[in-house]
Amino acid sequence: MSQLESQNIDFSMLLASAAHDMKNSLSMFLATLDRLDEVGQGSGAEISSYCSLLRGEASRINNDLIYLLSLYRLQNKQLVATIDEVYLPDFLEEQRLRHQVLIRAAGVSLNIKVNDDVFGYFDAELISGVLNNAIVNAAKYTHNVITMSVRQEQQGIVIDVEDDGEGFPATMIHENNDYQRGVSFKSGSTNLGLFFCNHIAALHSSGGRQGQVELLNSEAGGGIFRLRLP
Amino acid sequence: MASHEGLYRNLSFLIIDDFPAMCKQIERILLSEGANTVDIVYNGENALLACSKHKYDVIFADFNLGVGKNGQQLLEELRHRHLLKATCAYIMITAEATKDFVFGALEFSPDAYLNKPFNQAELMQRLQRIVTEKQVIAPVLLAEESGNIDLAIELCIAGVQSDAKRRNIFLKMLGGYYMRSGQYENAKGVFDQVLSVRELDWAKLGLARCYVALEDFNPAQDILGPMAAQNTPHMEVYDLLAEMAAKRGDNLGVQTVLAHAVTVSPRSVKRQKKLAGVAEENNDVLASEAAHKFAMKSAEHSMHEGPDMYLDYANSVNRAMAVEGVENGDRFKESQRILGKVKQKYRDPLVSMRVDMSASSANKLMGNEAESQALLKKVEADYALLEGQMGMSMGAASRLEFANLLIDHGEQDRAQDILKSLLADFPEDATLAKKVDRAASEPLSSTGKAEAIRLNKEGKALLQQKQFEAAVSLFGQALNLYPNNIGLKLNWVLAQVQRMQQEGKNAHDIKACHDMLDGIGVLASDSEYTQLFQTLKQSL
Repeated sequence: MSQLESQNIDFSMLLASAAHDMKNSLSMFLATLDRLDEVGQGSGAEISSYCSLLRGEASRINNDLIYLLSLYRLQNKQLVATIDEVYLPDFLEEQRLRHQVLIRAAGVSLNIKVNDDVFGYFDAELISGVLNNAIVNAAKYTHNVITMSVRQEQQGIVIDVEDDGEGFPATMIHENNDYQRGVSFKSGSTNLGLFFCNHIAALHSSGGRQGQVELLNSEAGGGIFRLRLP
Repeated sequence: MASHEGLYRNLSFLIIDDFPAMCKQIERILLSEGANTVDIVYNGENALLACSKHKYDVIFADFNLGVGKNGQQLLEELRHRHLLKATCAYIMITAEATKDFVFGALEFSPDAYLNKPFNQAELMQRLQRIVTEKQVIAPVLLAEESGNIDLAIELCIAGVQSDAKRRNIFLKMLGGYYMRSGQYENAKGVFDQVLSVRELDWAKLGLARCYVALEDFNPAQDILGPMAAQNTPHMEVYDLLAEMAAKRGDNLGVQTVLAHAVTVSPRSVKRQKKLAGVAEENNDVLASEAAHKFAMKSAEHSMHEGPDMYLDYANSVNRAMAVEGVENGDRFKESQRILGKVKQKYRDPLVSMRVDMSASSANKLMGNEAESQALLKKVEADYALLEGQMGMSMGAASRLEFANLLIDHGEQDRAQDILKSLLADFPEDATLAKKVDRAASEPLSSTGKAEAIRLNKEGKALLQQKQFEAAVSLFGQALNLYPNNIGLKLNWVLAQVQRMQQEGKNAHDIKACHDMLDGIGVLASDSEYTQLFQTLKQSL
């Protein structure tokens, strides 16, 4: 028996606390990057473009950490959605602010379309993780504009993150459909993010309906990440 | 964001993080947004100190504060010691650490969370939202603080009508105030109103709380049961279920609910202690040992820390040793380790004596008779001395432990006297009465006596009906509650003997009967049980 085994160490807990440390480091990393960007202003566009590259990658690392921690909780059957009433205009503004530097650096814009009387019922922290995934992805593939919009339907709310890029490849749309049909996570797939988003959406249910993620392409050709929450 | 400068100029901020760079980052953001007063501390102890000197408007606390208290323990203690003003906004900074943390934090719910990594814009939006909200509800909170619940209710009703965006916040407070003032029907109305729109956990919980308060347990069970089955992070759900099980007299039910609760949120010291206590009552020594251990570990650095946590654990290890056998001596080593630690940590004559008592029992179980006797002698001298000096202030725990030690050493009569005096000195303490009855060779409290009479009657009736198996099981269960009770032990053996007369003898059960009789030890010369004892011995 190895020393670790004999001490009865919970590996997934070790991983979780390592992920926690990494998030601490990322916080400092991103804060320092913001300041570096400030200092570098005026000394040519080069520093700024390196910063945006680093920021994009840091966001991806952060997303991966969120997935890891969530999967850890999922494995322990402790990933429970804490549903509360959420005021959508505030919530979307928060998402925009989180990504404003990334968006600016990518040279695109992010618009919000929501009526000022829309409330939703969901776990703000978890859904924020889902939208994080969608926005970081959209920022990478869009040409000029990302639009976040919410509309109220009889069955709940629909949140769209739409870009004006080339659209989702057919394989990805197909993979997402698999998740919705309940096909389990294939170990060969690299799309941990999509797996995570589908799971989080499904944790939200009301009146026999479950939340779900749809991937589709708009008439103009861009990708739409659509989240339906009952 | 400059437009909010005026908002922050007159507010005082406290930042608590063990990571200086993180404190600096938040401070820099706050100062650049117009704040004037920003204090920084790096650990929980200094945070308590800072808060006892100044009432802050906004506190940023990292959950993970390195060595010492964490952000959750800190919030608990700040609230407990009333070091926060009613309108203080407490913002917990988290990185989603280990599995139990998010859930633990939820029950002391801070006003807002901020997830790492965050940038300036996110922090400021979160801050602005929570500060604005606090300002809007401040009149309600101040009315509550001054004890004017009627006014708080009035203000909430006005808020519900005028502020669509914060309607639910006002409804939630309103329901709470109705409950506090005993207006349960009004409270139910509020929660039902919310639930008619959407099933929200806090409203379900509020409604269940009303039913429990009204002792209407079925609808409460219908609401809470499914929530617990889904591992809800709202810990009050489990507490209410345990409360109802206790009121039904279902002690095993209480243990089951609490055991479930601590898997959802292991870090609550109070709940672990409760679980340890109820497991002890159910004679589940292993569950009790595990819960005492967890409680002790979680109590470190918190306001619950004290010698009791260590001694209770050490004593539970002894009990486990008594039931499970000494095995490879690991439990003995563990109890020695803990006792050494607590003795050194507290350097107090009373604690020292309690350590010696526990050590004497442990040594006796290990078969170190000489060591055990030597410690007993020392304890007896110390006990007489301390009893003379402290009188009643010596506390029930030490006296109960002394009685248990005497029982371990076969001195039933002296133990019985101490137990009787405990009941006389603390007549209102039901938990203590249960512990006394557990330790005693016959029940001493009025509840215990009535219970023993009932159990004996029920068991005798079963014997008369020749339902021997059921009688053995009933007396066995009763012995879980009163493990030292001589009458129950004898009745259990009697039931076994009668059963064997009908079904035939077997070596295993005969040995169990002998063990039970041997465990009684020497009966007092005038004991009412002498004859039955002799008869049973012979019939085996």
